[in-house]
Amino acid sequence: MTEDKRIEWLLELQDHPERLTDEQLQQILADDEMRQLVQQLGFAKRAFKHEAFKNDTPDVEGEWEKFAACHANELTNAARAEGKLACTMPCKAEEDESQLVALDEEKPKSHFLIYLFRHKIAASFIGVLLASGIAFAAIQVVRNISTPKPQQPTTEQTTDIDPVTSLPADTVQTDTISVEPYIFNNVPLDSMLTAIATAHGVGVEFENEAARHLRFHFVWKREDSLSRVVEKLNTFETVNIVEEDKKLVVR
Amino acid sequence: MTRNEMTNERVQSDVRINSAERGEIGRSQIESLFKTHYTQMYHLALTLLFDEAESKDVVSDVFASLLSGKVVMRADNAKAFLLASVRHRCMNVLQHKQVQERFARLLTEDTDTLVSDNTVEEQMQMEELMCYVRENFSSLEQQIFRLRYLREMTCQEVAEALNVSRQTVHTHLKQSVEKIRKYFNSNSKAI
Repeated sequence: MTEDKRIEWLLELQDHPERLTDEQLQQILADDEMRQLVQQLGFAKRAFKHEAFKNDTPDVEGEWEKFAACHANELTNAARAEGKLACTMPCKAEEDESQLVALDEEKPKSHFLIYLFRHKIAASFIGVLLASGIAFAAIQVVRNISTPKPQQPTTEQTTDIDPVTSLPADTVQTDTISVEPYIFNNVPLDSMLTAIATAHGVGVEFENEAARHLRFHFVWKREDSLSRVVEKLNTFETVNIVEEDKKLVVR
Repeated sequence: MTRNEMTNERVQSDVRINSAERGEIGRSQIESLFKTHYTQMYHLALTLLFDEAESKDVVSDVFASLLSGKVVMRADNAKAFLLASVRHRCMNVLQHKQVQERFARLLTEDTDTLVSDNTVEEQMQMEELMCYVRENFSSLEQQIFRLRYLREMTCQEVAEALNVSRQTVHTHLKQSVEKIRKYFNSNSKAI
């Protein structure tokens, strides 16, 4: 086939691709010259397109907004992970590797596993930190209550007519504990309630033993009254807590 | 790329090393990557798929897979990684199209036929070709090529749009193809 004929034929076929089946086309493209011609034309098309769009800027902000809206959950998690990890994991020296480690899902499995593994270590590390943090916080709360700070003699503030000690026990707690909300993240009801109850100077009783191990994410606003906290906790479907004289009973 | 852009990119990749080292990617990093590289990624997808919606989907998918943690990126070469991911995904999209469509629309579906995996190099070659086009194509030839292949009109539609005969369109198109052919052959530029 001459070059001239080939081009004629190509143009004709491209105008009516439906006249050929995929198989027939495959056969035509099996001809090296023909395939090369198509590829060169394809590249020319890309070059034309490239030139036409080179100076055309898409609305990146708008696209980001769309993306952020579609992946709101993942992004929130990412933001959380970012905050937590940044302080717990020190930056290791970058290995000398300028090439890409992975190209999409097709990357070697072993790399993936190594990362997954590292990931797991990091995750369990955080888990341990988090758990010990909560334990520490709980201990602090208990200690605060069991050993109340001795009242400093208020020599300078002689005009203080309403000393804190005169307030009922409940109010004293909310005054002495900082008002920053405490976040229980995936913490068993058992430890959560113990911490809350101790802070309010009441006890805890589990009538429903299974409820001890229910885990929740709960924001404890310490300025809330005990009944308000109980009310909030009761919004969890599986939880039923009642305040009985100086005791929280879980049913 | 200007020196300024290069410095800027270097700084950004330094910031990202921390997260890539862990295989973890944070929100602010995704956002910064998105805003820095979106335009280039979108343009690359567009010159492979020629479809705005498909191209946007591809770029969005690349970021989604980064976010999901399924894909781990080395921060030292974020741009190359992102562009390679776009290319890879575009190839996947193209390979799922019918041979007929790929043939008629001149879609480059075969990875081997790409000039280079290096987008910068490839773009230089495209610009070189366009220089040749500007010098050797008449404005009518350029216009016909654009309408026929970029706007994907049939020869008949192009003829009507330009108010010329279908034969004129065919003749000019054929000349254009011959010139493109000559360009590649004379420069022994293999694709």
